[in-house]
Amino acid sequence: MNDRDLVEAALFVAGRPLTLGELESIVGPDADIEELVASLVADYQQRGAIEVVQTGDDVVMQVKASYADAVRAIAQRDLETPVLRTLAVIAYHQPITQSKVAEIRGNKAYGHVHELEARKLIVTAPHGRTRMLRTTKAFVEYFGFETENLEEIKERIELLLR
Amino acid sequence: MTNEESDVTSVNEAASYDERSIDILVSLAKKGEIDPWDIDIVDVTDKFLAHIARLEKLDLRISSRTLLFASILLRMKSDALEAAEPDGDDETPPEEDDLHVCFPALKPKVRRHAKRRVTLSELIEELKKATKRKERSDARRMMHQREGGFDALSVAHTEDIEKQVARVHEELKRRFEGHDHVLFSELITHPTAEAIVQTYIPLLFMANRRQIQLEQRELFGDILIKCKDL
Repeated sequence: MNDRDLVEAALFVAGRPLTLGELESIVGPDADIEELVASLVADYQQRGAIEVVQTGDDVVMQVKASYADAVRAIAQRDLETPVLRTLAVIAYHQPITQSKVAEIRGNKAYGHVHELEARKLIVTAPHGRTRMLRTTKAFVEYFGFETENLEEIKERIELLLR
Repeated sequence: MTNEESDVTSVNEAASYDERSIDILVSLAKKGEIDPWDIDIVDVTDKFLAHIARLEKLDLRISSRTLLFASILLRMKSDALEAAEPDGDDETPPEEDDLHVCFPALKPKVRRHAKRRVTLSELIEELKKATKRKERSDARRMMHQREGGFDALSVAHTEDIEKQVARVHEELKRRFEGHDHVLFSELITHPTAEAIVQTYIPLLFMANRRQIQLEQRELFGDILIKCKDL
């Protein structure tokens, strides 16, 4: 088994960024992981729709940007549509009470809030008999907002809504 | 010695004999003086099983030791089987019944089941859909209220009942001076449906609070209002 191929297989099957440490735990301590990754990055640049990208300590295998839009529709999203819709309502109206979200989205929103909180995309805090919801730093990073300021996030969303 | 005691003694003796025999077999096998391949495990196990049924009733320790010996022998035999190198020349084609043993276990393919991240534009798109859905839902509710006409619950909340009760209360207090009763028709200066309702409902509230007593002696006749505790 070739070390370089092993790194390639690990990146393919992970479907998420892997750290150099994770790759080393798969390939073994004797291999020069940085060199193996650099070789894969260079190799993938020359061919096809897939690329291997290293950002700091993280290495990921992904679809090249020029192909991404064309195949996005068939790639499964990591957030179900109803949950995403509830997140959108929270992001736009935040800070917003859980009861208000349920009024807009229906009673299933309570389950969505639970899932979003588990994913650390929102935080909830007691507020009378309900809870106050707002987005988190993880949400900001996930969607690539440049600020954590709630008002600025809302302004950006309003801009995109037009 | 009774017959029962005699049976127990003979069983114990038999068990003890078998147990000793197995003990000897195990110790011989351990010393390498016998080859575990030469022991007919099935035969020995059958004998054990026949005795276990009887031994269980007598002494659990005996049957458990028997089981232990049997398992040790089985382990020795299986170790010997595992260690035995297959001789290529002597290998015979497998019987059809043995085919499932010869094939390796199926291993599932390792495939990528990655999920992609949601984009900001998809988040915005869902927000638009959520807003439209809420607007449609609100519009439906409004239409339902209009079509339904009188919404008693919403009226009860929007109209100030207490204010009307106070108004009628003052009017009655004034009219009760020198009189023991007042007629409902006397309270209605302009007999419109709204005026009747806005006077009648406060009277019901006041009657419920035992401030007044309402009497209607004839069906559809005038209502007699008597003062109780104004």
